[in-house]
Amino acid sequence: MTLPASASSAFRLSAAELGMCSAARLFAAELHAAGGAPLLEEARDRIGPDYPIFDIVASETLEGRPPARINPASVVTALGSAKLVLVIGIEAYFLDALVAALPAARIGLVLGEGGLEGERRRILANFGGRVEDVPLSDVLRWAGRRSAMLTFIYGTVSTNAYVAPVWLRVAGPDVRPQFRTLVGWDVLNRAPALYPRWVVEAPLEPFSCLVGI
Amino acid sequence: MSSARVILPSILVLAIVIQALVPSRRVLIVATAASVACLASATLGVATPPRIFADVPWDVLVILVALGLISRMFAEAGLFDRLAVSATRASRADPLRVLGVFAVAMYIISGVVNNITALVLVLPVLHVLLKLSAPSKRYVGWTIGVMLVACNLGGAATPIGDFPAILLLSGGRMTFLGYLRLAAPATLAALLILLALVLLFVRPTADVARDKVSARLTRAIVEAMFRGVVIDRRTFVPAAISLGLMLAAWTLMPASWGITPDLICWLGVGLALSLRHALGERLARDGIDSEATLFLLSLFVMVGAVRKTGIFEEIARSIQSLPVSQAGQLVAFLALAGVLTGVFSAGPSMAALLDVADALSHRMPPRAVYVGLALAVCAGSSFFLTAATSGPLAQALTERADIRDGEGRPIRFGFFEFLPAGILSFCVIEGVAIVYGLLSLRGAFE
Repeated sequence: MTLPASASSAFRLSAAELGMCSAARLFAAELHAAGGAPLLEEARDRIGPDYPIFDIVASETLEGRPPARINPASVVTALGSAKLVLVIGIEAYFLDALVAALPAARIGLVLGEGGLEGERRRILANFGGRVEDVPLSDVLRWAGRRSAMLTFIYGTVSTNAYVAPVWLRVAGPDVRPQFRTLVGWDVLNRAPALYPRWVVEAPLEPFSCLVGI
Repeated sequence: MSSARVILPSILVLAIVIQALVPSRRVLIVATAASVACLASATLGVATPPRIFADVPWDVLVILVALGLISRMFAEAGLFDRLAVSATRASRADPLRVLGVFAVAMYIISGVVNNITALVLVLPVLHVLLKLSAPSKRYVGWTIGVMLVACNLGGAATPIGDFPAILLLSGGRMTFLGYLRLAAPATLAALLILLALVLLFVRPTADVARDKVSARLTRAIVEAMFRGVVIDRRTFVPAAISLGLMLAAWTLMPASWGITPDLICWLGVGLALSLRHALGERLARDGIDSEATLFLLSLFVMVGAVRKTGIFEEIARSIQSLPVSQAGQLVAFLALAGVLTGVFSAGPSMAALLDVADALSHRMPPRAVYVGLALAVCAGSSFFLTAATSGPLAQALTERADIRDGEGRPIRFGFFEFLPAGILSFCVIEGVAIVYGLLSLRGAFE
């Protein structure tokens, strides 16, 4: 059983709509189920160099450590009593869990491009109207004493975190004081070993709280 | 009157030619030409604007707008997303099945709702499947091409599927059930013949890899992309109930009651929008397809002005005086309708040819003329990518989707990529139209 020629472009398409980590989880699980370790290893070697987050997830699966079950409990604790939660960037499986765990909160989503463009309408349709589309220009409308901002982190190095590029456009010095809490949800718990294409380094300092999976 | 017979048809033909050459400005061109036609008609003493406006088939516009709003409600309910996922499941992400399943799905959808709305929501899912399968240029051309033709056939299958059929329903030319009974089998036959020819002889999947891993990944990705999309019952149920009531009324209500198809449609849509009043208000304000409505209104105005000159009756008389049998005259008319539609698109040719059809229907069985005309217009709409509104839209959406082959080269879908599918479809549907017309002449459907 060999990896199809379209695997890399298929990963890119899924990453645009599901997020890098969610797409990596999907691919690792499906390829492992379809062709076992040899197929997943082939995928890691072919797709991994271009998509380092897939490289991490595939490697861990091959090492017998498949991705852990997503538990949003610590994120909910970190968000405290926030009534408005503005999520920056998409990680579909993580956001699914968070939305279910915050039945009373108003949730907004800022989707960046960062070289990958998903279909906005389709991404949002999965949340049954619970998640609102927030353009970059409207971020400050969500600010306030009971507002929290959250983004997904792809590992940390020293005083920096790897985040989606859109985070840099949002979390400027003018925005930070306007939100009560800035939460970073580390969806990998491990920094990429390869050059972290598609994500960027950002200082950890603005975050009020970092949470693991 | 003689100068009017030259000037008014010239304005119509010129407008149709220019809008075909510059489709990006077609509404402006046709709307401006309609105002010029009104001016010419008034100054040449043919008819005043109120008389021309009085002849506009407003019932057709009412039905178009109302059905467009119902389609938007179904779209808001997430129906098309779920249908697209179901089509993916049914196709098992196999390239050959994808072509067939999506064509059949679009045929069915287009018969009931506005095919533009359906296309905008279903085509992106097909794009996802195409992007995931490392397709060849040929496969993309045929798959999207056949799907577009299926849209046209679905639109012609029912009296509410598309503008030409709605035009036949209006003015009492045909009853709802009468049209459905005759057109649905004919269009279904055309679709099945087309699919058989494509799958057995064209074989567009011959150069596309078909492996189990790719199919498994594709299914998993599509399921993940639509993992949380469910049909919103609060929106779907009122729209479905209203459409069901409308279909029942169109089918069962006697014409003697005076409740016309457009009134049924208006009442039904009013009910659907009122049951979801917040969404209904938003759709009533922003959900009307003003482009299509203004385009058709302008065409009706121009055609109305030309009609007053009596030129359409003359064309009908010319066809009837052709030195051939009645069957030959019908074939000539249907061939003319197909070619004119291919060049000028369905709206203009149907609006102009309906008057000729009306005249022909006095000497031939009306069903042979009207249903044959609807099929011939459908054939013409499928000839070139530019002949139906859905074509350029599919082209734009496909360009934006950035589909690439296995080597990473971008795949285009434009006029020439569609042409092979268009030529085959035109021949098949026009053939069905002519065979249908000839059989009707011989009383085969009595």
